[in-house]
Amino acid sequence: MTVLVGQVVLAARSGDAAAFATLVRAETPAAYRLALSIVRSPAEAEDAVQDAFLRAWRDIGNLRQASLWPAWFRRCLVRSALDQTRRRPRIRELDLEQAMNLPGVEPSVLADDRFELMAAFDRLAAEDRAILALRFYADLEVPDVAAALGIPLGTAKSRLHRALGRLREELGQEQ
Amino acid sequence: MNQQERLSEALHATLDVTRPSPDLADRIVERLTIGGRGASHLHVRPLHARLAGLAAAVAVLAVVPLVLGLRANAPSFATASPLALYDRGGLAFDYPATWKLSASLASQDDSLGSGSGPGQVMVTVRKDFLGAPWEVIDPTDPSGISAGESYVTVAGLPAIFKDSGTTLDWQLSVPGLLGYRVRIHAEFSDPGADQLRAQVEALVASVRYDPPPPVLDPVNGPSLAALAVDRERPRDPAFACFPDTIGATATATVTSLPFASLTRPLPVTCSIEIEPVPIGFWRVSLIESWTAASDRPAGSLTTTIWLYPDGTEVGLTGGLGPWASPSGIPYAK
Repeated sequence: MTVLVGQVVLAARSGDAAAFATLVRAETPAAYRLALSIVRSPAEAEDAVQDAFLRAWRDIGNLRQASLWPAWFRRCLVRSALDQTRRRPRIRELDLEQAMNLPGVEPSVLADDRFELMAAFDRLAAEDRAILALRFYADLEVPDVAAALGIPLGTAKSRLHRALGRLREELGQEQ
Repeated sequence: MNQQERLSEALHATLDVTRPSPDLADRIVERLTIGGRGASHLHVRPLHARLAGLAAAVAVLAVVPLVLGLRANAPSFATASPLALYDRGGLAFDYPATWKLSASLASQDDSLGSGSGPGQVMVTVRKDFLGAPWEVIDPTDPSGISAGESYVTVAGLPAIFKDSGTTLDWQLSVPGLLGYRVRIHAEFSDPGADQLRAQVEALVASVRYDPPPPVLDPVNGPSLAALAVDRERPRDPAFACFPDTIGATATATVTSLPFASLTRPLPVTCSIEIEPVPIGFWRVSLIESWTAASDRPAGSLTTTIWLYPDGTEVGLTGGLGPWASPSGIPYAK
């Protein structure tokens, strides 16, 4: 079933502020989660989402096709999230203990290896977290990961390989 | 589970349960309202020079029905005041330049009028996404209107109108956008309610769409419908039963309907219809019907493929997807 998001995007591109507000309301939760995977701080994630929508509203006239909206906005979001990490010293408000206390998460569900894995992930550089989150959280294929990061496909492949390597190193240090 | 799968599982387990602050989206929308691009898209241009002659002519024409105590059949602005242009999101109309206009992205309403006290008029304009793309205004559908509403035509497209005395409501079609309506709500009061009413009616009579809705050539319909169904067949075996020729019927026993599997085979008759929708789309209706049997009543299921004028697919509605109710569908899982 195709939901007609493209229609809303077309309206927003034509300057329909109400349509853009519809996009903001629809996309904010998912955008927040992807941003949070990169910045690892709820406050920074919210700032990144806000900044991404401001960029998107400013530039949506340049969007060539409505069908490109998801990838195009994802790129805005990733750029905003990475900017957030460069703008301020790293803040780690979302640590693993906090994750365990999130509503709906039973502590017993979080296995030990998940703790270790997320702790290792959290120690990675923001650029590494971004590429891993795009590939393994947003479940994007590598060409789409490259598009989201605005880098060539080959560069994305090598960065992904290196990020996985560094994650293994972090896990090795912990063990 | 390898490391990449473990990472994916851990990321989902950790992040999927997180939520932004409940008011984050509202705060973003509010911020866009204050400093965003919206203002640059709200074109309010006085038309004094261009429309001065027209306004004078309109004023003369408007005097006649007022003198006779009749409401003008063809609404026109009842005063010689200059007009301003509202031009936003593809919708344009003229309104008295003395009215004040305020736009709010946060509330998604634009308000314009002279005020809200006695002898004043206020009009709100709101573009709503109904969340139901198939709900186009169809004057042939009696169930599409509520008590007190009637079908009218605004700017050449179907609309819904309700007259409650001192409030008037229109629901306008939106060219090129499925599931959208522009709602125009006007409130006015004595003294001078008749004149204010005439101003509101003139406003609505001046509505035009920019760009105008595309004209669809019915000759192209059948070939576009056939192509659309061809595109769907490889995606879902449930589309295999539909004939290649529009208007023909085919019979088959299916084990699935669009977007859903059945628990038992179902004998169906399949047909395709296509019709242009005035707001600039083709509506391709894929109809599967079945006769009654001991364990099921007769029924049918319509899946709709919406196409742009050139045949490009907009999307599908109906079927047994999340936008449809499976009630009455036999053997639905």
